[in-house]
Amino acid sequence: MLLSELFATQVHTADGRLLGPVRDVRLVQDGPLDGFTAKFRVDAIVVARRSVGLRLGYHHGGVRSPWVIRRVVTALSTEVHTIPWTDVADHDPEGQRLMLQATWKPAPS
Amino acid sequence: MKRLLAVFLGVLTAIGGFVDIGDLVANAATGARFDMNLAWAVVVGVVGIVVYAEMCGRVAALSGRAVFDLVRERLGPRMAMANLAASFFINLLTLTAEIAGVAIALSLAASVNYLLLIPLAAVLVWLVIWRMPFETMERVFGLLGLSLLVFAVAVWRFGPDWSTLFHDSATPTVPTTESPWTYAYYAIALFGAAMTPYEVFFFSSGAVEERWTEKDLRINRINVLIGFPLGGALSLAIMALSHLVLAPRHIDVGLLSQVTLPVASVVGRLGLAAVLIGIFAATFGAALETSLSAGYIIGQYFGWPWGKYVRARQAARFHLVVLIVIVVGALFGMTRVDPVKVTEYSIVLAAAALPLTYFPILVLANDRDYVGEHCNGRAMNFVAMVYLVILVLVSLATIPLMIITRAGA
Amino acid sequence: MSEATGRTLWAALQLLDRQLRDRHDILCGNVDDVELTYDDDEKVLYATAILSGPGRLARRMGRRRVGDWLVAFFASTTVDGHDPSRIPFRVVRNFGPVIDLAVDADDLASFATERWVRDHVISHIPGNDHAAE
Repeated sequence: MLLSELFATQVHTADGRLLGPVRDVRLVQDGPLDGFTAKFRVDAIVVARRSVGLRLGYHHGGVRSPWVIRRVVTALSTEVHTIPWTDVADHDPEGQRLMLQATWKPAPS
Repeated sequence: MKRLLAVFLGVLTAIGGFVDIGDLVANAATGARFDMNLAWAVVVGVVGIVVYAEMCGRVAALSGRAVFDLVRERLGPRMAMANLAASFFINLLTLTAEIAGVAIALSLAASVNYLLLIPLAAVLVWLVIWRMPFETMERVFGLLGLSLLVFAVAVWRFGPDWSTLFHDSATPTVPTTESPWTYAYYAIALFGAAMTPYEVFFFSSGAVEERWTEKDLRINRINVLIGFPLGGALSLAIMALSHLVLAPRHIDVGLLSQVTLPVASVVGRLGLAAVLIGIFAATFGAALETSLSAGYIIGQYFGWPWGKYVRARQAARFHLVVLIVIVVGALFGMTRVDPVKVTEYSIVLAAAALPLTYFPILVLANDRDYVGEHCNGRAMNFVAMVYLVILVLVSLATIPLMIITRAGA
Repeated sequence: MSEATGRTLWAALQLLDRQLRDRHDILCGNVDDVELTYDDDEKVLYATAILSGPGRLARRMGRRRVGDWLVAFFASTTVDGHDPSRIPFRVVRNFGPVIDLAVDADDLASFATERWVRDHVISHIPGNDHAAE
């Protein structure tokens, strides 16, 4: 599967609410050894309906300034969720759908 | 002492390299038509390019990466591709104008139709790119461009009423014979002539080519803070001379030769020789920069090896692109398209496209992952944000104004 | 070799569209996409390879058929039929501002056109062998 395909996948909660497409993926290098290096495991996904400025670094990239741009970008974006991969219940690559566990709850804002 | 000399040379190169055919045409045409009522537009443009170039140079020096490389990384391939297409097209227009400018400068000296000299100009431009080292190229054409100081000499020789000149510049009005739309259109043209995007692509790629590091930041700032404003002052001298000599005679600037008229009439044969050398250097230098920029932006977007610092055979696609754009620019010029008109279109469209590359650079200059502790300070961000707003407004106004004024007719 | 274990990377911010550099410091393309593979249980998802090359970028930008054709084309040009647009993570030396690889640019799909232009165009122009430096 390709990362670009994952980025076209829509994420739904267990009760059917659409959260949006996958926007970014956190990889952690704690998998089994492949040669001399450990494999990179998909640890979490970032999901948002609209994510202006995510790639520019205004969400989890640590860019804070200029504050005007940060404000505008935040205002234009919808809620951004960072979801651990363990909360993913079902992944349908063909249908481009990801369903979360019933136990998942959005982080309090 | 050696350091001082290097800095001095750097500033001189920046001054001489500042003016290109866009500045020549825009300032001369505006001076003839609007007197000094648009001098403020040059000032606004110069401050803009100082801000833009400083941020670009800083990002390039600290991250080792050039503009389009970073534009793709931060905006994603789709937006960066749109950006690339627009920038490339405008670059091509500019290159056509510069090559034609070289041919015209040669033709004014040799009394041969400039169309016949375009192929020669193109070959010379390519040869210099192929064989001349990067720094030598910058120095030679930058310093030769200082011949354009003859415009300042001519203004001084003319002996204008200085207080009136300054007063007129400081209290701009729209002349009664002109519509405010045309006034705004020419303001955009002057702005675009000062804040040329190719300059920024070239500047940033050059910084990476020359392997700038944190230590070079101060020199970069000096070059930019002193060299560019003085280059802007030179542009204003061109405007002033047009205003003093051409405006009273109701001569409009439609040909590059008309830009030289005022100098010849005030300073004589020597002045004419100086201005021709200056125009040749300015247009030739700009042709070098725009052709290299075409290679830079495409190469950086696709991740190719690029630059003059590696063997040509190690940056094959880059050199092929450079060769192709020079050929296309020359061919387009030879279709008898009006070089002054092409110049005007290129600077106005360049002004419209500025936000596309300015915005990501502004964000990057605030990203510690790229610039470390040399992040934009609050004052810098304030000025930079003001300019972002200006650029967006200019961008939105350009096409409508172009239509309303029929491209400044 | 990169750190053997423990590193955290954000794919969109730190991997995608980053510049690649080979072991001789030659620029050789960008990260156009990333290959993800499930383990045998279909539970854990691993990022297994960087994908780079004209076909990969085309596919990512929506031109699926053209992209797939290009990937197959470049794979057919290799001696053993392997896919030169696929760069396994174990071959990455450093995940920095530029991603350093332990392989040669010549082995990558993104360098194929560079070789072609070099051999068929640039090498015929005199003076192509010294840096105008």
